[in-house]
Amino acid sequence: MGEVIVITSGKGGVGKTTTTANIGAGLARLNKKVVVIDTDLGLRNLDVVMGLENRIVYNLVDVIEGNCRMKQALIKDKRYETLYLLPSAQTRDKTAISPGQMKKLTEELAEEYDYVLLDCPAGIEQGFQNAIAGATRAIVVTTPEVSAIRDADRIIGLLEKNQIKKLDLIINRIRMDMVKRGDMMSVEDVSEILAINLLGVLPDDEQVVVGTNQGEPVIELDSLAGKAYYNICQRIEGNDVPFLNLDTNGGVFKKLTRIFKNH
Amino acid sequence: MGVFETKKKTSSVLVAKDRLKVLLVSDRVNCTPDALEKIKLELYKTISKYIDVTPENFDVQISRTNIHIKITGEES
Repeated sequence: MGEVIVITSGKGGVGKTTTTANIGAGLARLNKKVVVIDTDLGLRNLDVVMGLENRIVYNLVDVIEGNCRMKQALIKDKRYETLYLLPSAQTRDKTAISPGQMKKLTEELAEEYDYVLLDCPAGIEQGFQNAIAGATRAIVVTTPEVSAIRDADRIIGLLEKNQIKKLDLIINRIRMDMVKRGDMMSVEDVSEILAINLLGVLPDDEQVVVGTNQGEPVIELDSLAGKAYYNICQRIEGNDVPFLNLDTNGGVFKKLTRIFKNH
Repeated sequence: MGVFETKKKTSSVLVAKDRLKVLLVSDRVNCTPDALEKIKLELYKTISKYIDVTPENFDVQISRTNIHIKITGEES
């Protein structure tokens, strides 16, 4: 029986979709059978981040409404044999499915896959309720900003209320130079405020944009963010991996990215 | 002017943390920071009727699911 994990944040634009795509890729690289589900009905994005937008035939709503079989809707990743995407519907809205239907669908997938990852829409409306319905575990993504942390705190409260006990935090887009200057909250500041288990920290890395442009996971690009995502996947798998030193001091990291850019 | 500005500038992180502290507490219990201050004051008044407390050893903390009344007594 696989694990059903929802990736959520409350606030939009903090990196849920990128995180879902990269954790999916990382777990597949660890030879796990993974299915990622885009639950944002009407605003389909995960397919684009993964570079699979041209392969969509059926979608999540088609499966739920019985217009096709699950196997017909699942899209195999370009790179990883064991990674599949269940895309969202672009022309339907959140009322097309119910939490009960989502729960049934994720339970069915968890029988066959090691991990079912749900990319949650922003907000706390029905789309959120649908996304968390079948989840037994949640990853809350936030950035070191007042608005994102505030929303993350509300989301954590709602997840607890919905009996999701296993909660992990990912802090995205940390800039060590700003932290040092006292102009950005540190990892310690944010995790102390939100007080849930810290699963990983991601630097504000240009390579994430490069990966998204190309529809490739950043985990495949030699970058600090890629390494951080890979470490997060190892931690999900239960391995004790030390946190990366993100304080690159403009030295080694800049040199490294320069080297990789030339390839 | 520029010299004094850089010297006096407080880190924006401290501002952010202070703002968050107020925001999260009022979000969690769904009331205004003002009402919260009143709750604290009334709790203090009520408790001081029965227990010997001072403003220094009395504190009310609000987490996502609980309201804690903390009275720091003498350590024995």
